[in-house]
Amino acid sequence: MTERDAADWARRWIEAQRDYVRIWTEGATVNRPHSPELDLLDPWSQALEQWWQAAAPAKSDAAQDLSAKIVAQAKEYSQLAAGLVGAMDSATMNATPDKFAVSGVAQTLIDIWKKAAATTTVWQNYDGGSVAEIFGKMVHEGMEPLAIPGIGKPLETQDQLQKLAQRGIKYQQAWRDYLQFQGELAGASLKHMEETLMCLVNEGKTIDTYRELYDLWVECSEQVYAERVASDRYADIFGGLVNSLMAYRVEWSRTIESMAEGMGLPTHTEINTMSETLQTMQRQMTALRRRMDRLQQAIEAVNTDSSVTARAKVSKRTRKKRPATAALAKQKRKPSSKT
Amino acid sequence: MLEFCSKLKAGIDNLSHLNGLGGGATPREEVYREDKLVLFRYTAPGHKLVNPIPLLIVYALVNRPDVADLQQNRSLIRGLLDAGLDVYLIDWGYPDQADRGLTLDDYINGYLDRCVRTICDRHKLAKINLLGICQGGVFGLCYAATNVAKVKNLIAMVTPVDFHTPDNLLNRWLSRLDVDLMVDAMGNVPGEFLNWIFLSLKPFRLTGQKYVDMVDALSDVVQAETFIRMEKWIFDSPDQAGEAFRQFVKDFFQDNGLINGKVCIGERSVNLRNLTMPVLNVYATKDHLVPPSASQALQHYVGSSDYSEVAFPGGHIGIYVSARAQREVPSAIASWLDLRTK
Repeated sequence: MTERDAADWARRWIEAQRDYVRIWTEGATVNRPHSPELDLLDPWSQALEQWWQAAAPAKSDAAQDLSAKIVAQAKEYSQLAAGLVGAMDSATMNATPDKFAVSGVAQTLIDIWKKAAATTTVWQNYDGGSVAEIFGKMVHEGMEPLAIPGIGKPLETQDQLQKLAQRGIKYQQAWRDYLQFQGELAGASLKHMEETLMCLVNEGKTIDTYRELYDLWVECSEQVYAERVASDRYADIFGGLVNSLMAYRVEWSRTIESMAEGMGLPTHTEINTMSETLQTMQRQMTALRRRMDRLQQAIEAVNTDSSVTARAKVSKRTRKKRPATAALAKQKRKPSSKT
Repeated sequence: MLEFCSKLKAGIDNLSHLNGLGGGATPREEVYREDKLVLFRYTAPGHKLVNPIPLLIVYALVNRPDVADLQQNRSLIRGLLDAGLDVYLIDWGYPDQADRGLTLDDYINGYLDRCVRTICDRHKLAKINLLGICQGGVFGLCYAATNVAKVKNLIAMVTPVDFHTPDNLLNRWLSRLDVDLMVDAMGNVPGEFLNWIFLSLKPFRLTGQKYVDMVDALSDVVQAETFIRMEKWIFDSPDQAGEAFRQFVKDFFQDNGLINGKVCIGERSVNLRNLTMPVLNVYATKDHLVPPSASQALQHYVGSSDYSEVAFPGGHIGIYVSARAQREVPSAIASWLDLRTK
């Protein structure tokens, strides 16, 4: 397969997707008046816009505002994808065999990647920061009622569910912080790559293949990544993410355990207790076994000493006895002079 | 692009015909078993024993010890056997939730000690040689410092001693971790979590570029087998027994207890000054997991007058599996041991 064939395949794939969306769109909008603005968008964005115009009136104002941002981001992505394919297509068609200029295609790719990286920080800075404000407001408004203490018979259950929800929200906050960090990292990596590419251009070097470009991107990304994840800020973010997730999990476990207890099912707490008891007993048995081995060795040592001492004593007695016995034997052998 | 696609196609063909990728290339026999632990003794056809003192390899709890015997031509164990050593290895097994209560005391003063005794009894010896790898090296240091009478020579391989060196990324990330909460929440710490941490040290390389490079390797059957064996090993991570993990993170990573003299294994306090036997410290100069500075710190704390170092120009994994490692590492260890065996 030549590079032209690959580009041709990509173009046919995109056309097939366009036909697919066009057919569905025509079917969905058969009675809808034609909108000139819609034609300016790529097919995926058109589909999203169609859906949004149908669904939006049913949502509340706050939800509409937030959802509009999400739809806008999705449209941005689809336009970026269409642009990327177009750029690759154009680069391949216009490139000399096996080479393309750094400042041409690479710059186009970097611009597209930078826009994509910017949209990942939608929670922070996209479109004036309104999404972050909405989320923060939702969190604050959500946490307030969750802080009200329970009353009455379901007090404990209410407290438990409130705690579960609070932990869930905290985890979402930590996850958001983590994603924000990743978004900033993506932007910084691309900036570093851009600077590196410019240095290469100034030195008269070229990047001859997609593979070299990719390797350079990996190298630049790893450099920026290594620097940023060694910071105290990242340590806080990482620790916060894992700790909040574990706290959330603990509450979930408690909730599920209380339900399991109600249904008469064994719980983790019970199994852990049994496991700890077993473990303690096993350690005690091992210690006892070792003591027994030592005692056994001590007894054997004593027995060995005793038998050695006893043999020594017997031997001594035997040596003392022998002269008397010999004398007696000698006496017996002598004939009596009286007969 | 055409060349890439051709290699990819050849690689897929090779991958679909691979077999016999199981771990372990060197024959071995089981000599002791307790709970999930198995103690193996390695043998090899034509093995000629030169050094009569057995060598016990203590691997980390993290990952499997198969990497020390990955395949015929990439086996640290095979290299040690060929150098005339009598090699034993502890396989810690795969902990399950019933093992969450296992502590470092259970592992070091329990399992490890009984393995040492077993070998001593078999060979009618009072002391053996000990080789600890990575976290297993930390275990080896702790054991030797509290059982001086049982260790003749001690080797630490890519072993962290000072956990608070500036270039230790793992320590930075774990510094804010509430490990008590984690262990209370999960019991055993999943191997997948540790995999994620290790991949996060170099994510672009380890989750992306490695697999682009892979296409070059897959077109050759031998390289494809090696790659797949390494992949299987990398992602074959046992869960960590909860209590042991708790103590290891708190005492070693967060408190840097080995340096500060604050580590207690059971009732025994670990003082590296008690390491009065000969000590060999093998580290990798490009180790991103255990930075060289973390290993080299050992020289300042041992009480032995016979301390040596071997700096291997490679990474944390390359020190076992690279071609250069096969040529250099086993012979360096064996010759060091032979000089100290009477």
